[in-house]
Amino acid sequence: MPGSIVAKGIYKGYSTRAGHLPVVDGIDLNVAEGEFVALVGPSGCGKSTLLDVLSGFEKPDRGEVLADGQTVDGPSPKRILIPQTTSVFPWLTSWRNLMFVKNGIPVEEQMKRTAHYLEMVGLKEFQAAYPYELSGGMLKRLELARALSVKPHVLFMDEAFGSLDALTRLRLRNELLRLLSVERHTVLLVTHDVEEAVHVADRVVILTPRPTRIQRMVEVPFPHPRVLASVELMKLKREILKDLGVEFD
Amino acid sequence: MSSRLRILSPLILIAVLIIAWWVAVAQSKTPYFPTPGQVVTGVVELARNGTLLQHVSASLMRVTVGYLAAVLIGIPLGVFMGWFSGVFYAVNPLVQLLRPISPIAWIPLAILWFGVGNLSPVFLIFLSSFFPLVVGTASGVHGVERQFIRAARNFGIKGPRLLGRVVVPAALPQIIVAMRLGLGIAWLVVVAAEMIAIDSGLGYLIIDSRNAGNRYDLVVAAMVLIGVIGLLLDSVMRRLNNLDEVRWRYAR
Repeated sequence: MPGSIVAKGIYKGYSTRAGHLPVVDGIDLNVAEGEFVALVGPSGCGKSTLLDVLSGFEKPDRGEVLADGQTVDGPSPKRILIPQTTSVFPWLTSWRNLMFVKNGIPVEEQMKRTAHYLEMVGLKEFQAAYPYELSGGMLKRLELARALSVKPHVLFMDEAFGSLDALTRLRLRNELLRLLSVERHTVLLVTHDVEEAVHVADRVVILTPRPTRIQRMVEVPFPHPRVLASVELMKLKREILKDLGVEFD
Repeated sequence: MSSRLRILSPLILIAVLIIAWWVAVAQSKTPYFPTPGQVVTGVVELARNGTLLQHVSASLMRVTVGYLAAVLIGIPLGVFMGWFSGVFYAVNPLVQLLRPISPIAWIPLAILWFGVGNLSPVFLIFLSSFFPLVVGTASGVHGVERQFIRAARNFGIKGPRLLGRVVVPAALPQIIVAMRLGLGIAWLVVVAAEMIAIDSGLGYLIIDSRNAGNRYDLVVAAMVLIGVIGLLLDSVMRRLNNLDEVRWRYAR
């Protein structure tokens, strides 16, 4: 399955009233097909902007992004971005949210996929419910189901679980890992939660404060399921936090 | 507040005001100003001889035609203004220039262009609800939350489908607010429009009752009817908020 992402010398800045504000300051990154990469960095460092560039929503000032060798020049259903806020359509039921986004495939196939993915995220009973009738965790599941139902090569997740309570967040992380064990997608997850990063990712990219650069990359060589309280993971988490300027014992 | 009290308290307030009105008229022994009882008798009299239905339906018909025309033209224009900045920059200054001109100021031109028939008040109603519809729809579309547009683009939805199936549904709660406002203003204006050069409708009833023998009981009766019908029209419009397609806006 395709899904590689290559970033070559990405620069991105914004002009503000105070002048030019550099946000992303030279990022080179290779993400292999099926790899799960977490990008961690202090808040406001430019993580979301970087993700917007990688997913094609923003054009870089310099450099380019390649998806499976092709230059990215806009968002595409092959690369779905799951934002921090909900983006499922509140005027459509769960079922119709999934049906709506599948363009150009036969209706029977659309219905089959919709049923399959709603079932997969455990929302079968809520297929006739409107998003405002769902809890925060269920909304994220719906968001995931909608993304997966178009069979994307890459998932970009921008603090996707950030707005949830700790318990739901942990549950959804496990859920995501389970889904990915069935269907291997390339995932780029932006987060400020180091524990989340070492729990789910194959590789953690540590970003500097704005204008952001790659400070260091860390492989997470442990197989799933990972034990969060294990010595190795704790050690890794401590190392990464140290890189980010946080020390604790 | 308990639901019983919520229904009861405005009724008590209205009842107190009616009693005060009644007492004041009785005390002052005015020959002109009617008591609430005389107003009710007036309404019954109008209902009996059939003029009530005739005036009410004449006003409602004018509002319906003028308002529907404004909806059919104003909402699409508002959607285009809200979505395409080129349309906005081209059209908005003209809209903002014409908007503060009271529909009443258009009366002479309306009569010049459309004569003294039904078309003049219909035109004035169209004008009065057109601007709130355009401005409200445009600002609703302009304010559609960015994440919906981004998601739609991400899933490859574009062109007319993006506008019709994402932008308009997302703005629909605001569009309905604009529709309510527009209808309220239309109902205000129909009465004013019927006070000139028309021989039917509730506005005509008010002027005619005063001119033909100082029937202030019928003047007040028509005023009360205007209020009641306006309230009913708005409660019908408010019902639109219960549609599944817009309930999300008010559910959280």
